[in-house]
Amino acid sequence: MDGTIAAATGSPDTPRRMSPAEAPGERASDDADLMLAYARGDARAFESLYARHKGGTYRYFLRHLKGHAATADELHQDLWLKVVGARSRYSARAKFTTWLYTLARNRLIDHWRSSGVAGFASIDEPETASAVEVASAHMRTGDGEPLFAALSAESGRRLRDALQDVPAAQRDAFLLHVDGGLSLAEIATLTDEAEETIKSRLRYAYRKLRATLEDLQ
Amino acid sequence: MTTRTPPQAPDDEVRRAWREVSNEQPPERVDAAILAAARRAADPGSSSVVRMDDHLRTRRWFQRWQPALAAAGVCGLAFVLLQSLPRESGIGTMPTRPSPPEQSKTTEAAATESRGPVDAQVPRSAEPQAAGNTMMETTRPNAPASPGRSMEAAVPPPAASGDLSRMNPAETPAPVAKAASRAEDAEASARTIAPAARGRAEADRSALGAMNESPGSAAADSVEVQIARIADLCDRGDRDGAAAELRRLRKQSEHADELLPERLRAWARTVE
Repeated sequence: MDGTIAAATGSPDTPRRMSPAEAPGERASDDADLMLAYARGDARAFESLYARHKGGTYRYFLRHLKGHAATADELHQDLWLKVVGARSRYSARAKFTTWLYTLARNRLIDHWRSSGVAGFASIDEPETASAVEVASAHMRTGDGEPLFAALSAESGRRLRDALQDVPAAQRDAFLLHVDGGLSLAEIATLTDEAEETIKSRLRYAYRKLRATLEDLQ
Repeated sequence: MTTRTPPQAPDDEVRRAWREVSNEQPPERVDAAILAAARRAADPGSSSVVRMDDHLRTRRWFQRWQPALAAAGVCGLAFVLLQSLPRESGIGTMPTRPSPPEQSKTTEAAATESRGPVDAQVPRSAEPQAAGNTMMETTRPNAPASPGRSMEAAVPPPAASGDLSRMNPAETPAPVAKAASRAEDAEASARTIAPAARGRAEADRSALGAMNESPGSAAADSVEVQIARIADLCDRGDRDGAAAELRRLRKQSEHADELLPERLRAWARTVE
């Protein structure tokens, strides 16, 4: 709990330990190249970078803020202005998205602190072995049939509401994984948690959403 | 033996469903602000963008406050006009001498009545000029009379009429004669000016008539005073002084000897 916050409030510009799984791929190196090009004064590189990641960071804020769009706008703008300001200090040692979502997470925690919201502090539900088993069993029920053909607007709203009911740490892992495109190891690095903890959080979030999807059938 | 489905398959379904419903994007204004800031930061020479923003901000500020500025300007202009207008009219109505006697009031009233239709034709700007003339003539008593002169210029100061008893009898008719000549001038001018202005000349004449009565009574008073002075000189034995006074009285009145007391008439017959 405290470790989560401590990791999140650490300097975002300092890349944390990198695991072999974080070896940058083609797109990751492309992101890093774009950021370095922008640091050299290429504004078009930033435009490409922004177009590529703006949706993910915006939704990251929007989901954590439970749909409060105005605050999400503000935090999103703050985040990218911070990226602009930190361009000269950026180095390609870390994956760009890891760095980007670290900044985003820190900004979110700052916002929660200033608002008196608990944030990630009180969300880690102790996942017992039985709970994990239940989740795993639930996932195993899938036999390859599609869970949905197309979601209506109402179904989409219910699915989003279902994620709101998920504790913040699980929701955070899910958003970083799905919207941010980060791997388990990257999320673990970013949140300074063990990979198993992240896997457990993800499983919880997936189980909750899957249950909602099944109800929508 | 059961084959366990890898958990990734249902996770993929959830991810797909989630990505379908979660596709919000930041507002365009936020995009624009971020990209503008990024461009400014990338190009130090793009200060023109900042200048343009400042210009737009200034223009928006001006557009926002333009109605208020216009209203304030109109109010200020109206205030200045209101402050200046009463001062001008105050000059026109400012009395050039102490409060006039009752006669001049009636004369003024008559002049106002006769001026009534004239004001409809004569431009208003002529009035302050006439008022200016009045003030100038007060300081220059010998200035030639003009048709537009107000009655106040033609009427001598009340203080002067009050001091007539102390004046030399030979001098008393002078203001009257001057006023008469002014009235004649006014009448002559009235013939040449528009008929509308003729009312003013008539007003001048009526005022002059009132004037002629006033110096006459003052002259009668001075005769009595002179007779009393002659009697006093005779009583004190100053026959020469009394004779000089009598001669002066004779110049003023043909029947001076008859006006003397009975006891002085015998002495008066000895004076040539």
